[in-house]
Amino acid sequence: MMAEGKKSPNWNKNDSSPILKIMALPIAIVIIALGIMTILGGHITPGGGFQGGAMIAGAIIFCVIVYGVDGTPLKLSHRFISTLESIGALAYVLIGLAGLALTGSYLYNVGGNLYGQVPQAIATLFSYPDLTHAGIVPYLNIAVGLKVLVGLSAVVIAFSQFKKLAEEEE
Amino acid sequence: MSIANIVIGPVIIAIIFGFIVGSRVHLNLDNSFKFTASGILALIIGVLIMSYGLGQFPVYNDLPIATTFLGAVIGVLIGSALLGGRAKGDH
Repeated sequence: MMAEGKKSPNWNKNDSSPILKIMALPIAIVIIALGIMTILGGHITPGGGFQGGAMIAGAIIFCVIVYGVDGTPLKLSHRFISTLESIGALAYVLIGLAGLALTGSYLYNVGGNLYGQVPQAIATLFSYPDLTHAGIVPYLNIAVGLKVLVGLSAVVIAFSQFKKLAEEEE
Repeated sequence: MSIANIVIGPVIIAIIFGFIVGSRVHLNLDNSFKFTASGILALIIGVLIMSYGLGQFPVYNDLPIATTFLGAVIGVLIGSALLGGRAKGDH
């Protein structure tokens, strides 16, 4: 039970100011783009999958707080969340298993092939189209980014619905 | 610094990633930003200024704008325009 006098944020109401309602969605789109840029530059600059995914989740959380969980323009359905989460986890495991199958070491950088343990044709297959020849690292960043963006958003969407569920049960 | 150095791979992946996230953006809500022609133009001008401010991030020898960032914004706008209105959220 809440203490007397304390009010919890009511995320199901849609009573934000018009300035916030007009500006939140374009700002969220810019934050999403910054997050994607952070994910894709993670192998050569500070950042990576987790940081970029958290930035995208931040944009989704921003919209949930401003517009309310029912009126948010960035709606993630249960199927979308479970699909992206599964794709991210499966991609990470499968890329790691490729290294295990080809060299005997899990998560060996098959595309980078620093130790020359993989034939060049297979290394080219896993190579990232970039000047740095980072191999599988950017793909791992993308998989982690997908997982983190839906995972953190799902936590906040679930938290924001608890009050509504409690009110329905009363 | 020239257009010959541009690496197309990250831009394509940014567009695909942006399309996936943008497919969940509803653009025609009553209480939100109106994505009319002038609204989208204002957003694109703001994004261009921002990408110039970001510079050649994260690949440091191509154009003086952040091409990955621009690709992501284009992907979000295309995804929301094609699929955003029809995406049904169930939360």
